[in-house]
Amino acid sequence: MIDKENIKIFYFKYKFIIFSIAVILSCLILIALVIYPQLLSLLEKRRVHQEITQKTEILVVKANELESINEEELSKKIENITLALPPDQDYTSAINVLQNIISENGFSLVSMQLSQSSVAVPNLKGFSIKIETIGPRLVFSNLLNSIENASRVMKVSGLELTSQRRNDEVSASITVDVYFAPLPTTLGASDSPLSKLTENEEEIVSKLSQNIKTNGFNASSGLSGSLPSRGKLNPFE
Amino acid sequence: MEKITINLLPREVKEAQRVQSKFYKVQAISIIVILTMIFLASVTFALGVLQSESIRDANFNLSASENKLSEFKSKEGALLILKNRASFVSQLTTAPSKQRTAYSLVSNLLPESVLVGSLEADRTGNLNLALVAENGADLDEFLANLVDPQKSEGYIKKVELDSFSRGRDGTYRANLKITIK
Repeated sequence: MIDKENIKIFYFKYKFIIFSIAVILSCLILIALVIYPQLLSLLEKRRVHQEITQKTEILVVKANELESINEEELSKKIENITLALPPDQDYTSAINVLQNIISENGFSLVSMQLSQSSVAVPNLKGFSIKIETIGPRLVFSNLLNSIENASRVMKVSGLELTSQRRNDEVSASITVDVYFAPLPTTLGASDSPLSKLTENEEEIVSKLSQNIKTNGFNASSGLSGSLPSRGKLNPFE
Repeated sequence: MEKITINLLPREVKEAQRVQSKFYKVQAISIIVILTMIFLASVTFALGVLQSESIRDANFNLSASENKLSEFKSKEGALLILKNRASFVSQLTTAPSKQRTAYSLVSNLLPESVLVGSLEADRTGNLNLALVAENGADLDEFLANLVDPQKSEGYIKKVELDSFSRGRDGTYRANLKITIK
């Protein structure tokens, strides 16, 4: 009885403070347990929503861009560029290209030797062909130009030249690095930007197509007399 | 005539009334604060529900776009291959090989009367040249051209004369080692 009475007296004495503390506490509990977590979740949801919207926009733009690309033209370009840089060694096409270049420049082929070579560029592979050839000295420069501008991507990596004093012939041993690159196997994330060709790359592709056209390249049967590239052109199909 | 009001309540009752009215005010303010808090909690909750709805819609649009994009998967693959190949070809064909450049440079700088007995370009593009010249002046001219940065287009780093001799027939023979930049 005395305790109850005491509590009553205590409450009446301090009711302002007790009431205010109770209200503040309930407000704080409401903020801590409901308002703050809800606000955090709102912000998180807003971020997620923005991300999804952005991804959707990218996908829509990407799909529209892909839709606008001419499929036939693209396959033609792929064919040409795959012949220039095949997915595997394709020794026959490289040998054929070199043989054609040598004969077109008035040189005669003495021997050809294949060997492995390492390439500094990642994902790019190659092999070397050492050519022993004899021909006119005056057009030797053209021969080198033709090799480096051939329909198959190749580069001169070594050169040994001896010229005869009495005539204008040179005997040359040219090491040519021939390149190939395995096809990419992954497409990457769906919202990754569309891989577009740069101006320089567009130029290279059209130059290659032109080169193949002028060299009598038949895309369906390979370089005049050579075997077509093996395997699927597009592994994503 | 002014009215005269007299509060006959005892002093303690008056004090109690004043405290009570003050307490009512505090109570009213507290109720307003609590109601505001409840209102805020409800608003954030409602916004959360609305946000979830819009996320669901956005996800639906996303899957629709993904489906549309998957129709062009093979085209995208083809484009990726084209880009991949084109960038490789671009890297390989942007500049001629060092060997070709070195050979062209030497051919351009070589006077007609000087003959190249042998030429060797290694993987780094450095050249070993064996030259035969009918007269020393032409050989001099060739050497001067090689060491002139303007004529050699700043491409030659070093020219080493490995050997130099004059034969019985009066021809000059020289072996040069040219280091390319």
